[in-house]
Amino acid sequence: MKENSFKSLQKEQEAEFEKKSALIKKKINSETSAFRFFGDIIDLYFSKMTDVFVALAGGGETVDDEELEAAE
Amino acid sequence: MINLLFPLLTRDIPGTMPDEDVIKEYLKTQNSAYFDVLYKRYSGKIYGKSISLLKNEAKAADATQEIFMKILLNLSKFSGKSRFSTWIYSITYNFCIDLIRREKKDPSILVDDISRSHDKEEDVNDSFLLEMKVKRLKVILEEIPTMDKSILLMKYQDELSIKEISEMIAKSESAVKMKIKRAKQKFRKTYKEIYKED
Repeated sequence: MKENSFKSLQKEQEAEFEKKSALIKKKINSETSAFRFFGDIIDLYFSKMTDVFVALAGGGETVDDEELEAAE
Repeated sequence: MINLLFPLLTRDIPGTMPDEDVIKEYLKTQNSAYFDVLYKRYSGKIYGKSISLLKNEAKAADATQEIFMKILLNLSKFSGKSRFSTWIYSITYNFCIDLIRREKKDPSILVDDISRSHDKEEDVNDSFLLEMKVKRLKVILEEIPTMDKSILLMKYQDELSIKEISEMIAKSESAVKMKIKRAKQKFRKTYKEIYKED
């Protein structure tokens, strides 16, 4: 059976894309790497930053009631 | 040795693995090999649609890159209600149509042609479009309005059902049928104008 002309056009365009495929993939990979890098940075430092803000706001390590009684 | 150290990096992913499983594994492992499978399966198709709609190689290449980034960033939102191919084609059509709209290159894109009447014209046989030479098909697709082209690509290239198209373009099924009918009529009219001698 003869192939649908729209499908043949798609095949032609896919073959045309072969030449550009590697370059576009490289660009996507570098973009995703950049996203991952910034994600890791946020992951790594954001939790620490929260601790810093808590400490600056007067918060800190929790003290047990027993420790408080002993100190008194 | 490398197989023992990095089993995920070197593991062969069967080409027949269904899209949904590839996505699940990618989301679970973030292993780029799974992304490579999706890229191999769909990048050419996305590029083809982009070039048909945008009519420019460089823009189509940039669009393919941006569409793939969108797909990657929204992969976790894919619910599996539709086929994965339908989902990514929907992103592709919306992206390209938005781009054309922003550049205001095709004024017909702003008009909902459901109001324009060509009802008296006879229906165009599918075989007229499907048995056409690819070279001529390319020429006609270059000439007809973006919305007509999109709907014909959805129907005859992506082989989407009326229901799938109606969900994709947020119109009723009867509106989709009417749009297809009119797009085919416009296609034939353009063909007759260009290839008068036939």
